Amino acid sequence: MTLLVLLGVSRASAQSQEYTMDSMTFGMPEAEVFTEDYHGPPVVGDYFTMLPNLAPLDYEGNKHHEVRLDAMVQEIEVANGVRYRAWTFGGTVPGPTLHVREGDRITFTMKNRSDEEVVITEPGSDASPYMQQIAGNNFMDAKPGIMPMPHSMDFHAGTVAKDDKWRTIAPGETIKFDWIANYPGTYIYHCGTPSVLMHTSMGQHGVVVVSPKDGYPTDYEVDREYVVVQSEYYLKKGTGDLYQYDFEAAQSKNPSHVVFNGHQTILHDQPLEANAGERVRIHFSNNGPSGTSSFHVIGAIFDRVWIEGHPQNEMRGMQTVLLGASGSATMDLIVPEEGKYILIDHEFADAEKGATGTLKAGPRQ
Amino acid sequence: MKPVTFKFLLPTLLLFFLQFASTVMAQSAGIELPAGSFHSVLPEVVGEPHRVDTFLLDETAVTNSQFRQFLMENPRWSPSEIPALYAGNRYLQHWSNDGNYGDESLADLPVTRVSWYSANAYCGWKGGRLPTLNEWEYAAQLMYFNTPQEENLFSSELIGWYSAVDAKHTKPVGSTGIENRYGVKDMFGLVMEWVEDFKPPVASDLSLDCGTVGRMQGTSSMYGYAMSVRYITRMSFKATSTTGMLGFRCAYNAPAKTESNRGQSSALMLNAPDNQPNN
Amino acid sequence: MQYLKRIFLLLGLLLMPLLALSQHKMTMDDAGLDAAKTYHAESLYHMNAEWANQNGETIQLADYLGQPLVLVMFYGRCTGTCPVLIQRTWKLYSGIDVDIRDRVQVLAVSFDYKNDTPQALKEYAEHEQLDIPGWNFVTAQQSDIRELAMLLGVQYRERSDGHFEHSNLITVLDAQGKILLRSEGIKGGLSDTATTIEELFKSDLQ
Repeated sequence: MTLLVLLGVSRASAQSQEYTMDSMTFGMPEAEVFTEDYHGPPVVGDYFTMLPNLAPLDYEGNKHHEVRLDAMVQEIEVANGVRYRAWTFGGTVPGPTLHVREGDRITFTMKNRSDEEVVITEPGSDASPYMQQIAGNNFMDAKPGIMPMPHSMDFHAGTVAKDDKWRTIAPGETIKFDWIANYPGTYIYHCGTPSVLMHTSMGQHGVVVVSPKDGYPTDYEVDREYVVVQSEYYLKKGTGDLYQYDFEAAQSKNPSHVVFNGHQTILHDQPLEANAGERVRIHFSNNGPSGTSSFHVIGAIFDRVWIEGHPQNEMRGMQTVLLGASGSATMDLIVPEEGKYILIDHEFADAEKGATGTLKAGPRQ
Repeated sequence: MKPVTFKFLLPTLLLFFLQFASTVMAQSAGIELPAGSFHSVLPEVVGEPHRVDTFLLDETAVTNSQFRQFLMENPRWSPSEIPALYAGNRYLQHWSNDGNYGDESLADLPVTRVSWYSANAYCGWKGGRLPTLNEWEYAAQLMYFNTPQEENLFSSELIGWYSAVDAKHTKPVGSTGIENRYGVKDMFGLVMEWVEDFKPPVASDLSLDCGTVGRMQGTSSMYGYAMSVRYITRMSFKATSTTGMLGFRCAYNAPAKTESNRGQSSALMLNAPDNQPNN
Repeated sequence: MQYLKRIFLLLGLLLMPLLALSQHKMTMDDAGLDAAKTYHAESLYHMNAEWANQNGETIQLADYLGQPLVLVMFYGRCTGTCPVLIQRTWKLYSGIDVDIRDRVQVLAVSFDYKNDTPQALKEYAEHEQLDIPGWNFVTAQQSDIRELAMLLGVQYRERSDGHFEHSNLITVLDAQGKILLRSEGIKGGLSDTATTIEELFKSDLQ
């Protein structure tokens, strides 16, 4: 009895730990860790999409999102003839893209399902856009797998105590906590369980796009909006057909593949599309884990670049945007004419390992 | 006594002793590992190795058929009986509910999806206990490596194993071909194993996040790095956790007659930064 | 001669089943299963270890159904914090209302499965002047002690010299065997704990 009363008191005082400063909110309640027998969809939330798509924010002002993104193992294809058993969030590498607005509150739940086979290709009718998109376009040919390991979640977009919210949970456990998107921009999320190099190389990363509350100056002119994420794989052939993590390559920053949106050829097989004269916005993140990216679109110049996606970090007329590991930028480019444009990491050692994609432009409308 | 009675006395007594001896041996079927020390990635005093006393350790992980025997004699530990206090509801999920693992071809697979409580109870039933974390890590590093390069290669394979194990298709005990120098098998490459104290006091202020590896020692060596993966994985468990990649083996206290072994150190520190050659 | 031959053979045959029985430690009584099913999911009464106390009696946790139980882990040869911990437990016990106190029992469990035999525990209890009704100093086999520590959240480690490093904890189980309260360390007041135990009687255990 007394214990329950004590518990109740402590929750109430935790809620009142929240405070605002400069119109940002800090002081989130303590994370909850519990065991729950959950067998539902691993990705829940109306603003989760599969890369390169971005869910439109169909609401005014701020919203309280209740989302779920479970950790699980999937066997995926990352290049022609290259499959490995990946550690993922939501079933793909990178994981699903979450779109929110600056100031939104997100109540986040994650179950460590690395010891369960989770099917991601059979969404229910009320499934998130991400799950519907995967079911219709399973380009990684994802298949369930099991590899029980501890995992955690680190949202760079969240400002919280890492020993509480980003804590590691065992297979079968669930963690739940709140965070507020206090700053605009495109932020990596990734597993923070040591070795982070291993967990991120194995596939546990993705992005949250936080749109500024007052938007960017060119918003009304944007015709297309895409999300592109660069990342590295460190893989070597294993016993059998599958590839496996190459620890030595990871330690010496020598990736086997450097890719956009998780797959060596996906942005060529399924190019981004636009028409001549259109303003295309790209939210670009270099998820690493270790490399840098000199991002350029062959044939175009970035009209505007907001470093880290903040409207006040505006640069004009950039050919190449240099981003370190976990760095991002939101950039607008004007598509000059009909034809093909290549997205590329201009560090050619990376490009030749796969860091390229295609933007196909049709005639001016 | 008439001389002829001796003829029958002797064999009977022999029979008695043989029976008794086999009883003693079945009670502690482990391999004796001599006292020694090793460098841990989480030392209690930085720079100092952990000392381990002589103890016995099972040659292999506990198998499905051995665990089934335990369930037959102790049905309160079977999936249908075990209370939530002792295991989550995925306990022995790959077995049928009446405590059977199915096909006899699975008899020699290491038992998995067992909680710490059930592993501890099994070892108590066998007259022993779970090995301590230090005993386990000490036994694991008692390997023969001809050169540091060989050790590095082994450790690098090991890290590959930690990130690529197929927990759906475990192999039988003994199948890895990996043995420490005393014949203890499959400390690597088969399943992770429970230890008595998987969350040691020295780790109580570690929040198992990005900073943890930085707090560990010796992770610049390949073996130390692999060791840190094991420590972190174990420390993330709860006593009721079960996974498809987590089994166990039992340890036993050395009989009192090896008192003379105490104080000996056959220090074979394979993963110290200044790598000493094996002898 | 024939007669003697038969005697020896018979003896041999008789001895074999006895030895077969000693192959395994006597297993626990499984007939208690039905009772076990009725315990609360988190009740420690599910633990069916047999504890031997200083009087050579056998105790099981489930024996305390219907009354609160104070649990503390220590060992006899301890010269560190154990004496303080045991005194703390006494302070808690004697702080409970005298009308209620005789319905509260204390179980002091030793880490030292080797040295703290019932005999040694008797000497210890007498030395501490705690060989009194309501106080049981107990031992059991190694894996049972380890299991209890895990359930309570006590960390301990046996050192080479036979001593134990351990955390300090006093636990109170409620009348259903669930953990009601945990008091860590050797500092701080215990009057709140005593009050909580008394409140148990006021609400549940009329």
